[in-house]
Amino acid sequence: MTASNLATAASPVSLASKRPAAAIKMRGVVKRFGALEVLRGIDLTIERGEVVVLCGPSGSGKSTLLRCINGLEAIALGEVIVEGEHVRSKGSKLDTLNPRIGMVFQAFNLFPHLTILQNLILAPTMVLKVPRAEAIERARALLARVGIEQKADAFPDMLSGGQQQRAAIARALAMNPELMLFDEPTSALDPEMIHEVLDVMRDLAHEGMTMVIVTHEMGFAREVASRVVFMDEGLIVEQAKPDAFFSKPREERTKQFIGKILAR
Amino acid sequence: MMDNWARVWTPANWERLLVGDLFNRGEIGGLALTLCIGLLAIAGSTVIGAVVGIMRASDRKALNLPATLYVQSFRNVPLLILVFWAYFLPPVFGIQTSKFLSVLVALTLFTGAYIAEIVQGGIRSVAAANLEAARVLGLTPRQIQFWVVLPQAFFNMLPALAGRYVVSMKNTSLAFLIGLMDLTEIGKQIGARLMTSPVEVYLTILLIYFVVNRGLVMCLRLLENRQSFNRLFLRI
Amino acid sequence: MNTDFSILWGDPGTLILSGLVVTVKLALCAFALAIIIGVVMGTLRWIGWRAVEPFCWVYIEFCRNTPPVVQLLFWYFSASFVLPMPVFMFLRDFGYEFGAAVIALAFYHGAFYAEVVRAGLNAVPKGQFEAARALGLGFLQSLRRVAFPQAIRVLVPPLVNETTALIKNTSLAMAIGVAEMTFQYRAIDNFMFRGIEALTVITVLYVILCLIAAWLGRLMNGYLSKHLHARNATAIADRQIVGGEIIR
Repeated sequence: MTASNLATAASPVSLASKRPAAAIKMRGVVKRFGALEVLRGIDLTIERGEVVVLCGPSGSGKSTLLRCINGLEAIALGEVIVEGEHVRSKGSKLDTLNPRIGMVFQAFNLFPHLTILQNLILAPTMVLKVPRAEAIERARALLARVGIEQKADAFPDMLSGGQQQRAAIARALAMNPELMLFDEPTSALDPEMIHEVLDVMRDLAHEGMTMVIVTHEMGFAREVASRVVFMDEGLIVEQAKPDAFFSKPREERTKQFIGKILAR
Repeated sequence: MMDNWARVWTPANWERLLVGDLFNRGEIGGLALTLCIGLLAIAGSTVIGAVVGIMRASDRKALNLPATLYVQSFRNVPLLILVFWAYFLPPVFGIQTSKFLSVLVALTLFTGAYIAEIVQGGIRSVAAANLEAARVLGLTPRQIQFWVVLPQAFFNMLPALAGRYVVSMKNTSLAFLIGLMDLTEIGKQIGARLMTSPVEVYLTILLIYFVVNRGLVMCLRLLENRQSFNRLFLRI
Repeated sequence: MNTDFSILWGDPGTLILSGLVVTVKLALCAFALAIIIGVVMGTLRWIGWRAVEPFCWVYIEFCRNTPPVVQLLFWYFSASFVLPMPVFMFLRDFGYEFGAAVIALAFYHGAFYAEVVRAGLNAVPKGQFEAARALGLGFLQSLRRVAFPQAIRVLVPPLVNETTALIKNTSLAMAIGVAEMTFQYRAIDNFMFRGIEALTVITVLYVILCLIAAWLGRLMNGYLSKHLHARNATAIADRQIVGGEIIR
């Protein structure tokens, strides 16, 4: 048993020994913020190795759906099963979340008081109890992979937005995640920096990482996604392979949405 | 236990707690005296604080320096020490003073130093971009100060100001240390007379202070609503 | 007016000095206890835990709206009624007045420290804590490694303000007969009629104590910015801190 396995066994959401077929299974998920119902009964199964793009107008609940997968938000009804384990979250700051679900945020959320390298080794050393030297070695390799190895000792605010987001992806990868969640990873970036982040994500997809991505980059969705899920008003309206989704959408709302997106 | 409460909450005790010996000896005391000192100090310190705060925010050395000196020296001394100064210094120069006046003066000057800092911070908090917008609209500097800077500054200051007012109301309780018959002193006397129920007596005094100060905060909160604030202070 | 500071060489000087020692001891003890209360309570309030929220609210609102000196009298006169017997006995052996003053000041200022800590934690962008937890860090780990290091930078100035307030409030302990500086000044005034001289000296001493606290705060700030490198630590919005005050 490796050190990392030990650590996951100790965390509340431990991995089952036999690997189930689906990476993520959501059944009848309802999420409320006060009286407002943000998710109104979501059923969604994502297989291992799939790259699923969630899209839809703002306020449709796609980011909330993502946050329910790793338990940042507690659900009111239904169930979320990740790698065969129920995600049980009270939505409280006291919950410990599954370290094998990587997450990339719109605002990067790199820790400003730590260098990039420290950002990358913090969780591996503290959660997975990886020896420091080993964590550093891995972190440097990951930084090289996302193309910013020379920024290891810089602080986040010295990096461009694109570099920061690549560092954030590397930080999530440092935990050896089983799957990765991306919450609008390019929305806070200047146009010329978007592609460098998308390149990293594309490589990741080609390596077979299970990914759930909330994004407005429809070109990227078309090229990389194995499935596109369209949401509106807290419901999944339509899901299809990207070609089918963009060329012959079935639902009226989907057509309108695609029309608006392409008109931009 | 209920017995103790009954012995503390008698009409006579409540009368003394609220107005002191106003009716039998004609001396105001208790909560009434506390409110007198507190509200007068609040009014006085707001005036001092506004003037000194504007001086502090100024770039002119002649205004800035004395204001800074005042704020720094009064903020770093315990209020109790200021009360003693206000009470014992004037007689040295042959000036007659009263306990009431010395507490009031000390509390006003002490609170004034804090309010000056709040006022200065409030003025500084008005964004420079906002001033540019006002200049672009063709407003004169004086109009900008009066209609853009000060209303915004005052609005930003309100929460801090409310906090300071409550502190100043709480600080009136020092009056009993030089022998004024304020709420604390009356409560202490009742406690000393009853001997066996200090918990009930002091909880009662604390409760009165609590109710008064919460009330004050609630009133000031009303102003934090922009609409009611504008209705009162900014008629355009 | 004729003042003669030379009289302070001798008994009055000794009295003031012993008072200074008591003041410093009182301030340090109360500070240590209050900081612990403040960090725990402030963090609890920041979590927004429903079960403890009403309890925290009552405590903090109580302290904000009632005078410290009355709380001091309360603890002094009622300690034997409200404290568990062993704690009371310990306090009595410890020097009862002093113990009551420490408890009262710590209880009172703990509430203000709690608000400072909460404001500091609130100033850290929400995403920071979420990112830490999304990486699998536990609550305490996220707090210690991510939230506190960033919060502490915005926290230092109001912390210094509250600490000088605590130092100044030690003077209230004379109300229950703790032999600190102000108490000694009253004694000198009553028995030797050298009030103004003694008052001048203790005023200066209080100013020095407050300035030392402010200086330590600045040192800490400097140390933090050097060793935590949080150059872009987020500033609390103008409305939250105006003139170094914490806002209710």
